[in-house]
Amino acid sequence: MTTSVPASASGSNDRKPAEVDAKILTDLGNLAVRARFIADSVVTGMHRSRNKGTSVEFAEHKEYSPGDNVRQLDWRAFARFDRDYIKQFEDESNIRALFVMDTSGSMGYPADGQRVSKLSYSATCAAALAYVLARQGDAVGLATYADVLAMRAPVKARRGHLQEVLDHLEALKAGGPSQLASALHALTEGLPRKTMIIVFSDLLDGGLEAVNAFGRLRARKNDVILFHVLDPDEVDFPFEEQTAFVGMENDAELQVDAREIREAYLQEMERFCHDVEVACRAGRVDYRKVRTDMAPGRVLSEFLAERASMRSSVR
Amino acid sequence: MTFAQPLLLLGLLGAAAPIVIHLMNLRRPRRQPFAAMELLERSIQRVQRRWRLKRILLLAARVLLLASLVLAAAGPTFESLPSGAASANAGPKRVSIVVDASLSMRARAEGLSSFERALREARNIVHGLRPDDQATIVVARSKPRLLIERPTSDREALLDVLRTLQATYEPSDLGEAVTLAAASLAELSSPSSESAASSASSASSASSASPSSSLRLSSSPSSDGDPSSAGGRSESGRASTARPAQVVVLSDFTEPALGGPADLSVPGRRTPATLALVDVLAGVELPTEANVAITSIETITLPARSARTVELKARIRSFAKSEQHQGARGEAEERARDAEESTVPRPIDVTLRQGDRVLEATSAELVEGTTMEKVVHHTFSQSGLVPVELAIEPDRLAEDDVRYVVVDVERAVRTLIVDGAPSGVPKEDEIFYLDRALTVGAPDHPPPAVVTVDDLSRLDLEVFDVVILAGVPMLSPADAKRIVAFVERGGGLLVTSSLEMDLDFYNLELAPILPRRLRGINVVRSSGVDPIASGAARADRALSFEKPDPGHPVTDVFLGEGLGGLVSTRTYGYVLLEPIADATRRPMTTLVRYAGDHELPALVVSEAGRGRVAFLTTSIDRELTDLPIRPAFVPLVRRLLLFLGRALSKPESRAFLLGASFPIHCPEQASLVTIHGPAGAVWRFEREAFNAVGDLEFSEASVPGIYSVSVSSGVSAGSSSAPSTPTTPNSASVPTQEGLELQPLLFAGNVDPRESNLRRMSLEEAQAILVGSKVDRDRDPLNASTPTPAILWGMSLPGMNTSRTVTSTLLAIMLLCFGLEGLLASSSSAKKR
Repeated sequence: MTTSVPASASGSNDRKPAEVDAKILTDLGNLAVRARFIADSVVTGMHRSRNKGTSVEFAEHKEYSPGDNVRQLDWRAFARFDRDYIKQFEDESNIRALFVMDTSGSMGYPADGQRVSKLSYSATCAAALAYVLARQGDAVGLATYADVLAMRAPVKARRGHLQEVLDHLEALKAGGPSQLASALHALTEGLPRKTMIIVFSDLLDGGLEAVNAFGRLRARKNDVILFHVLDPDEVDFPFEEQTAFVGMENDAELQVDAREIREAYLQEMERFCHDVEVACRAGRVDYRKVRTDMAPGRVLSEFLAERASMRSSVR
Repeated sequence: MTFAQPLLLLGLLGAAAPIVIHLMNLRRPRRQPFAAMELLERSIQRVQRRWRLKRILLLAARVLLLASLVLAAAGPTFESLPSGAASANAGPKRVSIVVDASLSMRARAEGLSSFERALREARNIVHGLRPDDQATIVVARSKPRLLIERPTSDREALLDVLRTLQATYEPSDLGEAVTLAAASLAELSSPSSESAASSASSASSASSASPSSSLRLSSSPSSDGDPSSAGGRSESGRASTARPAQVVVLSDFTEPALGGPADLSVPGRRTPATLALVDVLAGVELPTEANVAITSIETITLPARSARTVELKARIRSFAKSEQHQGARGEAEERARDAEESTVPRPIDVTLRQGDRVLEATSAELVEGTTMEKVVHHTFSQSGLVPVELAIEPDRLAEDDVRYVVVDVERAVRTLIVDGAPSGVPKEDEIFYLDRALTVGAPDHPPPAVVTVDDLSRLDLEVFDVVILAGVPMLSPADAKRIVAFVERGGGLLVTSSLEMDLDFYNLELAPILPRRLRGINVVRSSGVDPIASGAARADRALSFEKPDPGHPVTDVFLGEGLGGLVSTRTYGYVLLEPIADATRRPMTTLVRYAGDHELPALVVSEAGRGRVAFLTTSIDRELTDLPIRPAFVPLVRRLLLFLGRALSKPESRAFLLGASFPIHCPEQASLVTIHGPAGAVWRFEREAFNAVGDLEFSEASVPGIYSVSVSSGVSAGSSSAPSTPTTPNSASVPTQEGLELQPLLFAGNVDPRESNLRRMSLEEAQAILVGSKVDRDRDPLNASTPTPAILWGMSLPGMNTSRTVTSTLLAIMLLCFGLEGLLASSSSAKKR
């Protein structure tokens, strides 16, 4: 099976993706609208796949050359023009994409309503990506996990299934501890092979061990993509004063002078992100570090562009 | 440990501020939900130990910084002991604190005067006294004063005295003050105990025998009467009554302040007191500019310009440049610098003021280390005694930058000439020469009024100051009475002789005012003959004038170059006076005599009532003398009239120096002298306060400025039997109930210019002067092993001896804490960046 990506994402389209802030997108309306807005900005002018295959849909004629399948000779064209032509058909894109969303408590940060939370940001990105895929006729599904894995929507390509996925994404609530490793184990059991697994998580609780579990998925020929979603507060640690930090997945509380801890925290965060990235690279997992202050459209367009270039290099 | 400002210790509560702030931060942290708790926890574990140490250090540095600041401001003093003097502190002692209150102590540096520093040190000493210690206070001024009679342990009493102490404007004599201070430490103990202490002292120490060696440095502690060092503990019981005696001198040690050697012997003790010298300016950064002062002012009237024009000649001196001790600097370096800078003149503003009014403003240029004379001219609008002050711009010692002067501005004299022999030919007129002598070249004086004898009765004499009877043969009895009354009321009268004078009339009608009876007229030649043209034979018989006696304002001007113009006069006829005065007449003063064996009077003056009378025994024209054509004629006549009109006073000092006694000449009838000083001070002296000569020795003046002296007589107004003698020229009497109160005399009290010399002596030099020991002046100061110490002590000084050390230590701690705090804080901020 071959996969197809929007042509515009491969760099053939000059239009830039809309770099609209996630918070503004949130204010636009429900998730379906947001997803469509992002997807349209990302794939505007997209053509259907130019890869010619064995689909029933005719694409064009091609002059016969030795080695071509003689079954595809168009005898009618031969009769009319006295030349040999091969009939070409549109190739089908049969991607099975499963979005795995981390809904643990830490993904609810920040909870102040002033900025978009990591879960909301992840849902927006996932919805937009699902929209793009579904529009190409690919199958999409949704699973969530916190302490346990929950299959919200199976991977399907039928019409109307996208809306079901979007409804689930919009209804996601953050809470509970994160058990990514066990969730991946459970996922490995029932998932068909060669599925594109797109994980959105902050990996903040036991995330490094979970990355090692990606190896089993890869062993089953699955294409694993990890969106490591982090809030700017977690990356820059902008706190200034004596602060009591309260855990979002448990009742832990750490009272500390933020100015004094900042240096050490930043080093820890940098080391953590580096370790995750190295582990992903080792497990051939497509790792993408995402800050929630980045425009979702930009994240998706960069992702799609890289996937397209990866695809072309494979060809 | 004691504190100069104990109340400031409340500020120590402020040192808790960092702790409070720290605790407040701990109590109310901001709650922040956070996702990356695992990372946060790991970070905390990494830096927790380092944090804690840094936080504690930062907190400690801040607390210590604030506490040190408060402690340093409170002025801590430790009663720690100098090396070698510890034993002297073992028992109670007696201390006499000598505070230099001379003018130089008013000099300011770094915002404080030397006197304020001395008081601060004195308070430190008092605070540092132990309960058994006793102290007294001596203020060093021109006449040192013991402010507390007996040494006392009452600290409050000592502090009260220090609170009321003020710096004076006088010079001081530290030697005399130290002598007084040592005498004040006399023991009241019994002779047996004293002798026991003395014997114990002499047995243990042979070095404490002579007064000259009584000042001991810290390396040679005093054993004088000290029980612990005087023969061991067994002696302590007997020696306890003989407390160690010490004199502490707080001064700036300027050169003039030291005076002579001091006597440190204590009455009732065999061993002298020890002496501690405390330089109150030690460690103070003194300005490099030399002190500039007005040291004297001379006033000269300039009749050539105008009668009321006065020349004030002020001497402005820039004193020795360096006020620092020379030991640490090196004389050669200082001399070179002085020589380099001494050629650059420094402009100085000079102002002549009368009260708040500026009369003249000018400037002068003064070279460092030199003295200059600045001349200021001013024409006064009023006459009489005018108090003025000459000032230069103030410097470190502002008190010597102003000098007060009482200027005696010449008064105009209104003169009436009664022409005894008018003539249609001007040159033959009796007053031809007199009138011209008074008129020509005297624009400020009103021209004299001239009348004949017949017209005299129609004139009011009260509008004149002086009446001249110029060769008047005789007057009407009524006019004679008016003349007598005029003189007795204070007018002046000049009678000149002529051959036509009716001597009997004068002896009868003018007897109350004439100095002597007139005996007759002696004529060398007959009248009508020009004496100049009469030939050399008669000239040989003419009389010349003797050199006048000094001391009278009229004739003093002829004692110099003008003498020839007077003694060359030739006189051919004169009136003889009775040689002996009768009882009713006043003493007569002969201003000019004729040369010869008899020394016959030519010009005499006397007091008559409240007026003055002068009698010229020869003519005022050339009838009997050639005086009118001699150079002395014009000044003699003018000065005589000024004298008679009380516009010419005997030159006398109208200025005195503060701290010295000032004689005030009082008239015989004076019964009460009232002196008004600056700032409303008033002194009254009865007759009993006068000395044998009848003068009042006034020594109470303490503030520079103008002093007004009023003399009152005890007689009723209008009494003619005992009229009061005026004390000032042209004085207008003011009738009062007690008698006649006369116009006050004015005197200017100024500071002693010696005190303007702020050049300071090293403590070794001061020691040498005070105790008489020799100082090796050849010692090279550059090679001195130790700088000049701030304190030379013979024994421990309670309270003050280590105060500087404590303060400097606290300052060092503050700096250390400040640096540490900055380091820790900056490391935090650097990490933040």
